[in-house]
Amino acid sequence: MNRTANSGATITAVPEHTVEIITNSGEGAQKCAQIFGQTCAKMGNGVWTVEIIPAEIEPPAHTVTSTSGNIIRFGTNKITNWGDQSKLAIAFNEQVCLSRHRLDSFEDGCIILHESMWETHEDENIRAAYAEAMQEMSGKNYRFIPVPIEEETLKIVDNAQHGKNMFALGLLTEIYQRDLALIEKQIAHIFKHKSAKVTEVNIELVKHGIAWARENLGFQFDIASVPAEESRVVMNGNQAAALGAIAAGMEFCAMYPITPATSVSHELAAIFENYGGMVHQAEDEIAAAGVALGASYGGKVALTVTSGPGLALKTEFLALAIMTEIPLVVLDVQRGGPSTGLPTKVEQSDLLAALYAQPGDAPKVVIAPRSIEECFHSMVTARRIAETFRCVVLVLTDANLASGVQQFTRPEFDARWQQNPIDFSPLTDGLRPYDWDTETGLSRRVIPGTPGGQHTVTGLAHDEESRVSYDPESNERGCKMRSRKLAVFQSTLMPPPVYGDEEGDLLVVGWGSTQGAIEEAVDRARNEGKKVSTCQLTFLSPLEPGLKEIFSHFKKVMTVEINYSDTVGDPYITEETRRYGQLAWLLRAHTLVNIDCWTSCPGQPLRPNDIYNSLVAKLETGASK
Amino acid sequence: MPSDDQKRIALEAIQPRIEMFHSALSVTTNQVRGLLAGTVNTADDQSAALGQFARGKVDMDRFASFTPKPSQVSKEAQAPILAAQEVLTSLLAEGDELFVLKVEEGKGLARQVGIRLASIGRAFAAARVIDLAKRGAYKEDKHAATLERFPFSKWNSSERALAPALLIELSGADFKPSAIVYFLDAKMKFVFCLDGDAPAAALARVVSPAVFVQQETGNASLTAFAEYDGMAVAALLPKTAASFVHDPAAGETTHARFTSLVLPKEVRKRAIGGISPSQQAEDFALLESLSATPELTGEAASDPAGKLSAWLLSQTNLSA
Repeated sequence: MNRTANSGATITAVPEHTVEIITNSGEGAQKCAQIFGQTCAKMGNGVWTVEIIPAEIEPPAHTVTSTSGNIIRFGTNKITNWGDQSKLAIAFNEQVCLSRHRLDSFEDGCIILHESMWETHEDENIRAAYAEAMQEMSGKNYRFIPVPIEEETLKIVDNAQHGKNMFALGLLTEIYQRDLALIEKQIAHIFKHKSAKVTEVNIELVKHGIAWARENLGFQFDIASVPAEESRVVMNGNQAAALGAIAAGMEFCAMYPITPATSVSHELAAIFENYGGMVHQAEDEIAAAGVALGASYGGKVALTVTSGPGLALKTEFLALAIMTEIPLVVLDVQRGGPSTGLPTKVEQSDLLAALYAQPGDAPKVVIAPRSIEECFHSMVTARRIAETFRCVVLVLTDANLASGVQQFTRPEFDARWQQNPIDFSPLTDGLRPYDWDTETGLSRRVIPGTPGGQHTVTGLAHDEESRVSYDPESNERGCKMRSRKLAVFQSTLMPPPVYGDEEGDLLVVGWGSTQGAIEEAVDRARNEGKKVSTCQLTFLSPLEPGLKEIFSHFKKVMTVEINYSDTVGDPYITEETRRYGQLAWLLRAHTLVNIDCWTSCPGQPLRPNDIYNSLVAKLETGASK
Repeated sequence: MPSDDQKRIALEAIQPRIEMFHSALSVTTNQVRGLLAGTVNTADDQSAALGQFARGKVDMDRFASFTPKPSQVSKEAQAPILAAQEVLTSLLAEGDELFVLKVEEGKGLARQVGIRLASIGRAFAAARVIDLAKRGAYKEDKHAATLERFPFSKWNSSERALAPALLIELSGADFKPSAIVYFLDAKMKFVFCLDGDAPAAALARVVSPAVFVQQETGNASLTAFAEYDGMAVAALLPKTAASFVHDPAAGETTHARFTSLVLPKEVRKRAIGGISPSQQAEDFALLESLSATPELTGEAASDPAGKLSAWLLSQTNLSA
């Protein structure tokens, strides 16, 4: 339904919108989007944001590779993923716009507010590139609106590079009728370490953007908000994981900087000491794992943070943790691989490495938070599992969760999360450092300083006394006990819930951050009468129980993952040679069910519409690709 | 009374140390809470410890059956741990005021500082009592009194490194800072805010190789003092006083460590708080002598060997 604003603009009420702010790297799109997203969240809208980060640190400006920006999906209801295509974009030049067009990021009819100066630029090459780009995009029915972004910004500041983003924020503020007072507050917060003048100028730029939009744009969108009854927080997954680590009572984080995990340590470094913790930046990934392990051995609650290439380097130390049964939490913020792969982009391709990277039998727990909120709470659970079962717990998030921003209910701290389980009481006579309970494989954790607990820690095969032991029985027993713990832990897990009916034609199985997009796709299919359900796994090792039984109620089962799998029909690819998505491999091996997969690894999160198309194809033809 | 601005500046300068101390108190309080919760060890406690992520995914009761039972705090230990917890909570409740000492006239600066530190030190005593109680080594007759008063003399090096800074407000006439030299160890920090006229350079008597000393006048900043990671003393005096900074990190030699020195043009003609004009002149002379770059005189000035030996002496801090 349309209304008319006092300014004369037509106001269209919509349940949600997806907006992109796209610029050259370094033009402040992130800051603009951050303030806009936070404001939407504080106004009570559901929000999900995704960063668009160029692969290079300083790519050449005004090219398709220089695109930096942010996508903000916000609506009246809860938003759980970045959605499909954008309905409105602000582009600082036509090349960044073209790069998004080529990725099919804009929907037909998308409103694109773009910088007008390039069309008439004095440089003939720039004019030509502009014309060429506009020509390429002309095939789509976009609504281009030229905006003199730089010219208007220069009316307030001398250097447009340091102001265009705030002018753009003003445009969005007017178009979506955002609360200016909240925006001013956000600006003051972001620039709190700078002079008051900086805040004033930025607010002036926003107001100028508002005035320009009011004067020149004849439209607005109304996205109703529902203020939450409970207190909420707004943050990205890395912030949530860092705060979760503190809440969990972790005392020590050793890491080496690696995209997209580094900001976890930034968050921790800023405040960890206030809570009795410390961040140690080691000389490399291997050392970081070793230091964290040493801290845990000494009785501290320790964490190490990394991403794919770092996980590969930590492999041997994690094996030592497993062999010595020293609790350790490892946060792996997945990115594209293999090798250095796609540093700034999302992928879910560390699953098998997380499970099986160590030579020898190396059982460990692997969990995957499904939302930003779960990034916080999973740290509490990970700590407790690691300590209870004296094991390594790998928490797999990804770049989508790491940099996406969402609001969630403010966690209510419980002191029992931090309860220290270390028992310093003297070891009673006869108790040994690996006194495995033959049923469960569990044994008391003995840390240095425990009276009567002196022993030599070794990565070599050892007996209950922790003495190096190469005899067949000891090694067999050690392997059995370490593995048994996983089975015992699995016995505490409950079958995962099914979203939708508990039987039907197709069950879509996902893990980690894809939950929101998968559920949205499944909802769409179910609304059309299709018998589709979904099940999102959070425990990957050990797997949640009852999966085979759940799968048996569906005619087809298919995983949806952000990683690579072969497509049957491609050269040399047959049912025999086909390599599956990583979760599909795992589930096929564990359940012996003929599970198919639909995977994609474009370096960006999955879109609900793409998932929907894949599951419709699976239903109709049996093909998943 | 010192001006509000001076008090604000002084309080800001000790805030990082206060925050660190408060954090340690908070963490310890939480741990005690956890320790006492562990003694209850109900299914609810176990479920709560596993966190919200596990809700609906993990059978909490079953998980709890595998959880190592935390050291049970014995019945005998519970009372002292609770008493220690009360001490921690009450110290936290005092907020910043715990670290502001208004020295009463005539009652002795050192004595009053000692009393306040003994009160703050109860936090350390509480941590010790908790540990002793857990290990079954707590003795009522020996340890209970430490929760009432735990003097500086009993603090170990870690406790002295963790101790908060103290803002001392006193009359300028009572400004005899050498009285606190006994308390300068590890990372102890003191900042004086003075009311009324004061001896112009009394803080000179506190200068020693490892102590950061900053005396400022008016509303000058104490950022350097705040940022110094070690024992330090600062004072904010009226504009008529001397100002100087002795920064142990600035150099190997005494004169190199004086990064600034401004002395009043003349010494007061009257005694202040019993400090005679000649004593004040001696303070000035001391500062000038400590901060002066050694110069060669007599034979040494022309003799290359003399120059070398003078330079060596200056580098080894043995020059006159």
